[in-house]
Amino acid sequence: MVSSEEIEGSELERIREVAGRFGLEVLGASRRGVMLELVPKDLGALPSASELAEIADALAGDGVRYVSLSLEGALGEEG
Amino acid sequence: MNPELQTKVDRILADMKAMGSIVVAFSGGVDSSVVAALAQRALGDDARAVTAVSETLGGRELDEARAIAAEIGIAHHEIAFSELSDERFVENTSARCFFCQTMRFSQLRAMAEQLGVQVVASGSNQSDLGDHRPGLKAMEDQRVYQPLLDHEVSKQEVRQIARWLELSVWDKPAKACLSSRIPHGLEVTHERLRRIERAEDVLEDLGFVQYRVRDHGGLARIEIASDELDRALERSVLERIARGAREAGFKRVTLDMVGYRSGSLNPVKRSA
Repeated sequence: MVSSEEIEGSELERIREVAGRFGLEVLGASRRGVMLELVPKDLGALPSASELAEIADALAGDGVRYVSLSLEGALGEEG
Repeated sequence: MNPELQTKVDRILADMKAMGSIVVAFSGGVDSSVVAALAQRALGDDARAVTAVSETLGGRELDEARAIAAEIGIAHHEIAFSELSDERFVENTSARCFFCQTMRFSQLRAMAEQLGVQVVASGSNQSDLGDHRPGLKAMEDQRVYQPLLDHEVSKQEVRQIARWLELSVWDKPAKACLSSRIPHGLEVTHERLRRIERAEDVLEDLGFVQYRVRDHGGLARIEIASDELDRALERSVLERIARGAREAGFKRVTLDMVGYRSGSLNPVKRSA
Protein backbone atom coordinates (compact mmCIF):
# COMPACT_ATOMS: atom_id res chain seq x y z
CA MET A 1 0.00 0.00 0.00
CA VAL A 2 1.29 3.47 -0.87
CA SER A 3 2.34 5.27 2.30
CA SER A 4 -0.09 7.76 3.70
CA GLU A 5 0.63 11.44 4.30
CA GLU A 6 -1.70 13.16 6.74
CA ILE A 7 -2.96 16.56 5.63
CA GLU A 8 -2.94 19.30 8.23
CA GLY A 9 -3.17 23.02 8.70
CA SER A 10 -4.50 25.34 6.01
CA GLU A 11 -4.78 22.58 3.42
CA LEU A 12 -7.03 20.56 5.72
CA GLU A 13 -9.10 23.67 6.42
CA ARG A 14 -9.55 24.24 2.70
CA ILE A 15 -10.70 20.64 2.22
CA ARG A 16 -13.15 20.99 5.12
CA GLU A 17 -14.49 24.21 3.67
CA VAL A 18 -15.01 22.73 0.20
CA ALA A 19 -16.59 19.53 1.55
CA GLY A 20 -18.73 21.48 4.01
CA ARG A 21 -20.18 23.57 1.20
CA PHE A 22 -21.78 20.37 -0.12
CA GLY A 23 -22.81 18.98 3.26
CA LEU A 24 -19.89 16.69 4.09
CA GLU A 25 -18.25 17.12 7.47
CA VAL A 26 -14.63 15.98 7.28
CA LEU A 27 -12.66 14.81 10.32
CA GLY A 28 -9.34 14.34 8.56
CA ALA A 29 -7.70 13.78 5.21
CA SER A 30 -4.63 12.06 3.83
CA ARG A 31 -2.77 11.70 0.57
CA ARG A 32 -1.74 8.30 -0.81
CA GLY A 33 0.02 8.94 -4.08
CA VAL A 34 -2.59 10.24 -6.49
CA MET A 35 -5.43 9.48 -4.08
CA LEU A 36 -6.98 11.90 -1.60
CA GLU A 37 -8.79 10.06 1.17
CA LEU A 38 -11.33 11.91 3.27
CA VAL A 39 -12.46 10.67 6.68
CA PRO A 40 -16.11 11.67 7.18
CA LYS A 41 -17.30 12.68 10.62
CA ASP A 42 -20.46 10.61 10.34
CA LEU A 43 -20.97 7.90 7.73
CA GLY A 44 -24.64 7.96 8.63
CA ALA A 45 -25.03 11.56 7.49
CA LEU A 46 -23.43 11.73 4.08
CA PRO A 47 -24.60 14.07 1.33
CA SER A 48 -25.98 12.68 -1.93
CA ALA A 49 -23.89 10.98 -4.59
CA SER A 50 -24.10 14.04 -6.83
CA GLU A 51 -22.83 16.27 -4.01
CA LEU A 52 -19.95 13.88 -3.31
CA ALA A 53 -19.04 14.03 -7.00
CA GLU A 54 -19.05 17.85 -6.82
CA ILE A 55 -16.66 17.73 -3.86
CA ALA A 56 -14.38 15.27 -5.69
CA ASP A 57 -14.39 17.49 -8.74
CA ALA A 58 -13.47 20.54 -6.65
CA LEU A 59 -10.62 18.72 -4.87
CA ALA A 60 -9.13 16.87 -7.86
CA GLY A 61 -6.17 18.18 -9.82
CA ASP A 62 -2.76 19.24 -8.51
CA GLY A 63 -1.59 15.62 -8.41
CA VAL A 64 -4.91 14.26 -7.10
CA ARG A 65 -6.62 11.85 -9.52
CA TYR A 66 -9.02 10.07 -7.17
CA VAL A 67 -10.98 11.39 -4.19
CA SER A 68 -12.32 8.71 -1.87
CA LEU A 69 -14.22 8.37 1.36
CA SER A 70 -12.68 6.24 4.07
CA LEU A 71 -15.05 3.46 5.13
CA GLU A 72 -12.96 2.49 8.14
CA GLY A 73 -15.54 4.23 10.32
CA ALA A 74 -18.10 1.66 9.21
CA LEU A 75 -15.97 -0.95 10.95
CA GLY A 76 -16.04 0.92 14.24
CA GLU A 77 -12.41 1.97 14.07
CA GLU A 78 -12.84 5.63 13.25
CA GLY A 79 -15.43 8.33 13.15
CA MET B 1 -33.45 -3.45 -35.72
CA ASN B 2 -32.95 -0.59 -38.17
CA PRO B 3 -32.15 -1.40 -41.85
CA GLU B 4 -28.58 -0.11 -41.63
CA LEU B 5 -27.79 -2.39 -38.69
CA GLN B 6 -29.62 -5.29 -40.35
CA THR B 7 -27.34 -4.83 -43.37
CA LYS B 8 -24.26 -5.03 -41.13
CA VAL B 9 -25.58 -8.23 -39.55
CA ASP B 10 -26.36 -9.75 -42.96
CA ARG B 11 -22.84 -8.98 -44.15
CA ILE B 12 -21.30 -10.52 -41.03
CA LEU B 13 -23.40 -13.66 -41.50
CA ALA B 14 -22.32 -13.85 -45.16
CA ASP B 15 -18.64 -13.43 -44.22
CA MET B 16 -18.94 -16.17 -41.61
CA LYS B 17 -20.64 -18.58 -43.99
CA ALA B 18 -17.80 -18.08 -46.48
CA MET B 19 -15.26 -18.97 -43.78
CA GLY B 20 -16.67 -22.46 -43.31
CA SER B 21 -15.81 -22.82 -39.62
CA ILE B 22 -14.99 -20.46 -36.75
CA VAL B 23 -13.70 -20.57 -33.20
CA VAL B 24 -15.00 -17.65 -31.16
CA ALA B 25 -12.99 -16.35 -28.22
CA PHE B 26 -15.79 -16.46 -25.69
CA SER B 27 -16.01 -14.71 -22.33
CA GLY B 28 -19.78 -14.77 -21.97
CA GLY B 29 -19.97 -10.99 -22.21
CA VAL B 30 -22.36 -9.36 -24.64
CA ASP B 31 -19.75 -8.79 -27.39
CA SER B 32 -18.45 -12.33 -27.68
CA SER B 33 -21.96 -13.70 -27.12
CA VAL B 34 -23.23 -11.80 -30.15
CA VAL B 35 -20.33 -13.05 -32.29
CA ALA B 36 -20.88 -16.60 -31.05
CA ALA B 37 -24.62 -16.45 -31.70
CA LEU B 38 -24.10 -15.06 -35.22
CA ALA B 39 -21.46 -17.72 -35.91
CA GLN B 40 -23.85 -20.40 -34.70
CA ARG B 41 -26.57 -19.03 -37.00
CA ALA B 42 -24.21 -18.91 -39.97
CA LEU B 43 -22.36 -22.16 -39.45
CA GLY B 44 -24.30 -24.38 -37.05
CA ASP B 45 -22.03 -27.08 -35.61
CA ASP B 46 -19.01 -25.62 -37.44
CA ALA B 47 -19.03 -22.71 -35.00
CA ARG B 48 -17.45 -23.23 -31.61
CA ALA B 49 -16.98 -21.04 -28.57
CA VAL B 50 -13.80 -21.34 -26.55
CA THR B 51 -13.27 -19.75 -23.15
CA ALA B 52 -9.70 -19.20 -22.03
CA VAL B 53 -9.72 -19.94 -18.31
CA SER B 54 -7.02 -18.12 -16.38
CA GLU B 55 -6.38 -16.31 -13.11
CA THR B 56 -7.98 -13.11 -14.39
CA LEU B 57 -11.37 -14.70 -15.01
CA GLY B 58 -13.68 -14.75 -12.00
CA GLY B 59 -15.39 -18.01 -11.10
CA ARG B 60 -18.85 -16.50 -11.52
CA GLU B 61 -17.86 -15.19 -14.96
CA LEU B 62 -16.92 -18.71 -16.04
CA ASP B 63 -20.24 -20.07 -14.78
CA GLU B 64 -22.05 -17.36 -16.75
CA ALA B 65 -20.02 -18.14 -19.89
CA ARG B 66 -21.06 -21.79 -19.66
CA ALA B 67 -24.69 -20.82 -19.20
CA ILE B 68 -24.81 -18.38 -22.12
CA ALA B 69 -23.05 -20.86 -24.44
CA ALA B 70 -25.78 -23.36 -23.59
CA GLU B 71 -28.41 -20.68 -24.22
CA ILE B 72 -26.92 -19.93 -27.65
CA GLY B 73 -26.64 -23.62 -28.41
CA ILE B 74 -23.02 -23.43 -29.50
CA ALA B 75 -20.41 -26.09 -28.69
CA HIS B 76 -18.36 -24.75 -25.79
CA HIS B 77 -14.76 -25.62 -24.97
CA GLU B 78 -12.43 -24.38 -22.25
CA ILE B 79 -8.66 -24.06 -22.28
CA ALA B 80 -6.61 -23.28 -19.22
CA PHE B 81 -3.59 -21.03 -19.28
CA SER B 82 -1.70 -18.85 -16.85
CA GLU B 83 -1.08 -15.18 -17.48
CA LEU B 84 0.93 -15.07 -14.27
CA SER B 85 3.52 -17.36 -15.86
CA ASP B 86 4.62 -14.42 -18.03
CA GLU B 87 6.74 -11.90 -16.16
CA ARG B 88 5.87 -9.18 -18.66
CA PHE B 89 2.21 -9.55 -17.70
CA VAL B 90 2.94 -9.71 -13.97
CA GLU B 91 5.03 -6.55 -14.26
CA ASN B 92 1.83 -4.72 -15.20
CA THR B 93 3.04 -1.99 -17.49
CA SER B 94 0.60 -0.12 -19.74
CA ALA B 95 1.31 -2.88 -22.33
CA ARG B 96 -0.08 -5.58 -20.01
CA CYS B 97 -3.12 -6.29 -22.22
CA PHE B 98 -0.87 -6.78 -25.23
CA PHE B 99 1.02 -9.63 -23.53
CA CYS B 100 -2.18 -11.12 -22.13
CA GLN B 101 -4.02 -11.14 -25.44
CA THR B 102 -0.96 -12.46 -27.27
CA MET B 103 -0.89 -15.43 -24.89
CA ARG B 104 -4.66 -15.88 -24.98
CA PHE B 105 -4.96 -15.89 -28.75
CA SER B 106 -1.92 -18.14 -29.17
CA GLN B 107 -3.74 -20.67 -26.98
CA LEU B 108 -6.98 -20.17 -28.87
CA ARG B 109 -5.20 -20.54 -32.21
CA ALA B 110 -3.63 -23.80 -31.05
CA MET B 111 -7.01 -25.13 -29.99
CA ALA B 112 -8.58 -24.00 -33.28
CA GLU B 113 -5.91 -25.91 -35.19
CA GLN B 114 -6.63 -29.03 -33.14
CA LEU B 115 -10.27 -28.64 -34.14
CA GLY B 116 -9.30 -28.14 -37.79
CA VAL B 117 -10.48 -24.52 -37.77
CA GLN B 118 -8.56 -21.69 -39.44
CA VAL B 119 -10.47 -18.67 -38.17
CA VAL B 120 -10.39 -17.34 -34.61
CA ALA B 121 -12.86 -14.53 -33.93
CA SER B 122 -13.18 -11.96 -31.15
CA GLY B 123 -15.93 -9.62 -30.00
CA SER B 124 -13.95 -6.38 -30.35
CA ASN B 125 -16.16 -3.61 -31.60
CA GLN B 126 -15.98 -0.06 -32.89
CA SER B 127 -16.39 1.50 -29.44
CA ASP B 128 -13.21 -0.24 -28.24
CA LEU B 129 -11.13 1.96 -30.53
CA GLY B 130 -11.51 5.09 -28.44
CA ASP B 131 -9.97 3.62 -25.28
CA HIS B 132 -6.49 2.49 -24.25
CA ARG B 133 -6.58 -1.05 -25.70
CA PRO B 134 -3.13 -2.48 -26.48
CA GLY B 135 -4.87 -5.88 -26.67
CA LEU B 136 -6.29 -4.85 -30.05
CA LYS B 137 -2.76 -4.63 -31.44
CA ALA B 138 -2.09 -8.18 -30.22
CA MET B 139 -5.24 -9.40 -32.00
CA GLU B 140 -4.20 -7.63 -35.18
CA ASP B 141 -0.76 -9.28 -34.98
CA GLN B 142 -2.44 -12.66 -34.49
CA ARG B 143 -4.77 -12.09 -37.48
CA VAL B 144 -7.87 -12.46 -35.35
CA TYR B 145 -11.15 -12.05 -37.23
CA GLN B 146 -13.06 -9.13 -35.68
CA PRO B 147 -16.45 -9.00 -37.40
CA LEU B 148 -17.95 -6.26 -35.22
CA LEU B 149 -14.93 -4.07 -35.80
CA ASP B 150 -14.74 -4.86 -39.52
CA HIS B 151 -18.36 -3.76 -39.97
CA GLU B 152 -18.11 -0.75 -37.64
CA VAL B 153 -20.62 -2.07 -35.11
CA SER B 154 -20.66 0.11 -31.99
CA LYS B 155 -21.25 -1.15 -28.44
CA GLN B 156 -24.78 0.25 -28.53
CA GLU B 157 -25.43 -1.62 -31.76
CA VAL B 158 -23.96 -4.80 -30.25
CA ARG B 159 -26.64 -4.57 -27.55
CA GLN B 160 -29.34 -4.01 -30.20
CA ILE B 161 -28.19 -7.11 -32.07
CA ALA B 162 -28.14 -9.06 -28.80
CA ARG B 163 -31.77 -8.05 -28.15
CA TRP B 164 -32.70 -9.04 -31.69
CA LEU B 165 -31.04 -12.41 -31.08
CA GLU B 166 -32.97 -12.62 -27.77
CA LEU B 167 -29.79 -13.12 -25.78
CA SER B 168 -30.27 -12.81 -22.02
CA VAL B 169 -26.96 -10.94 -21.76
CA TRP B 170 -28.08 -8.07 -24.00
CA ASP B 171 -27.80 -5.60 -21.09
CA LYS B 172 -25.02 -7.31 -19.16
CA PRO B 173 -22.56 -4.68 -17.94
CA ALA B 174 -18.99 -4.85 -19.18
CA LYS B 175 -16.76 -6.58 -16.65
CA ALA B 176 -13.24 -6.54 -18.16
CA CYS B 177 -10.51 -8.77 -16.82
CA LEU B 178 -9.72 -8.61 -13.12
CA SER B 179 -6.17 -7.34 -13.71
CA SER B 180 -7.68 -4.07 -14.98
CA ARG B 181 -8.38 -3.23 -11.31
CA ILE B 182 -4.67 -3.05 -10.48
CA PRO B 183 -2.86 0.21 -11.32
CA HIS B 184 0.03 -0.08 -13.76
CA GLY B 185 3.32 -0.47 -11.91
CA LEU B 186 1.86 -2.69 -9.18
CA GLU B 187 2.45 -6.36 -9.88
CA VAL B 188 -0.48 -8.56 -10.82
CA THR B 189 -0.51 -11.39 -8.28
CA HIS B 190 -2.82 -14.27 -7.50
CA GLU B 191 -3.52 -12.79 -4.05
CA ARG B 192 -4.57 -9.43 -5.50
CA LEU B 193 -6.78 -10.98 -8.18
CA ARG B 194 -8.58 -13.20 -5.70
CA ARG B 195 -9.28 -10.44 -3.16
CA ILE B 196 -10.63 -8.25 -5.97
CA GLU B 197 -12.86 -11.11 -7.10
CA ARG B 198 -14.12 -11.76 -3.56
CA ALA B 199 -14.82 -8.07 -2.90
CA GLU B 200 -16.67 -7.68 -6.22
CA ASP B 201 -18.75 -10.74 -5.39
CA VAL B 202 -19.84 -8.88 -2.24
CA LEU B 203 -21.01 -5.93 -4.35
CA GLU B 204 -22.87 -8.23 -6.71
CA ASP B 205 -24.55 -9.96 -3.76
CA LEU B 206 -25.67 -6.52 -2.54
CA GLY B 207 -27.45 -6.04 -5.86
CA PHE B 208 -25.10 -3.56 -7.50
CA VAL B 209 -24.80 -3.84 -11.26
CA GLN B 210 -21.87 -1.70 -12.38
CA TYR B 211 -18.83 -1.50 -10.11
CA ARG B 212 -15.10 -2.06 -9.82
CA VAL B 213 -12.88 -2.73 -6.81
CA ARG B 214 -9.60 -1.02 -7.63
CA ASP B 215 -6.66 -2.49 -5.73
CA HIS B 216 -4.11 0.13 -4.71
CA GLY B 217 -1.77 -2.33 -3.03
CA GLY B 218 -4.09 -3.51 -0.25
CA LEU B 219 -6.27 -0.41 -0.25
CA ALA B 220 -9.61 -0.95 -1.97
CA ARG B 221 -10.99 2.02 -3.87
CA ILE B 222 -14.51 0.97 -4.71
CA GLU B 223 -16.23 2.51 -7.70
CA ILE B 224 -20.01 2.10 -7.98
CA ALA B 225 -22.01 3.53 -10.89
CA SER B 226 -23.25 7.03 -10.16
CA ASP B 227 -26.90 6.04 -10.59
CA GLU B 228 -26.46 3.33 -7.93
CA LEU B 229 -24.26 5.30 -5.57
CA ASP B 230 -27.00 6.84 -3.43
CA ARG B 231 -28.07 3.36 -2.35
CA ALA B 232 -24.49 2.53 -1.43
CA LEU B 233 -24.39 5.58 0.84
CA GLU B 234 -26.88 4.09 3.29
CA ARG B 235 -25.01 3.40 6.51
CA SER B 236 -25.99 -0.28 6.66
CA VAL B 237 -24.87 -0.83 3.06
CA LEU B 238 -21.55 0.94 3.69
CA GLU B 239 -20.94 -1.35 6.65
CA ARG B 240 -21.56 -4.45 4.56
CA ILE B 241 -19.29 -3.17 1.80
CA ALA B 242 -16.50 -2.30 4.24
CA ARG B 243 -16.73 -5.58 6.11
CA GLY B 244 -16.96 -7.60 2.90
CA ALA B 245 -13.89 -5.93 1.38
CA ARG B 246 -11.94 -6.46 4.61
CA GLU B 247 -12.92 -10.11 4.69
CA ALA B 248 -11.90 -10.37 1.04
CA GLY B 249 -8.37 -9.45 2.13
CA PHE B 250 -8.09 -5.66 1.83
CA LYS B 251 -6.33 -3.79 4.62
CA ARG B 252 -8.17 -0.53 4.05
CA VAL B 253 -11.44 0.25 2.29
CA THR B 254 -12.52 3.46 0.58
CA LEU B 255 -15.41 4.49 -1.64
CA ASP B 256 -14.65 6.56 -4.74
CA MET B 257 -16.69 9.78 -4.57
CA VAL B 258 -17.19 10.05 -8.34
CA GLY B 259 -18.22 6.46 -8.84
CA TYR B 260 -17.58 3.96 -11.59
CA ARG B 261 -15.92 5.04 -14.80
CA SER B 262 -14.49 2.68 -17.37
CA GLY B 263 -10.71 2.60 -17.55
CA SER B 264 -10.15 4.89 -14.58
CA LEU B 265 -6.70 3.34 -14.06
CA ASN B 266 -5.64 3.77 -17.68
CA PRO B 267 -2.83 6.17 -18.47
CA VAL B 268 -4.06 9.75 -18.60
CA LYS B 269 -4.25 11.04 -22.18
CA ARG B 270 -2.35 14.28 -22.52
CA SER B 271 -3.96 16.89 -24.71
CA ALA B 272 -1.72 18.19 -27.51
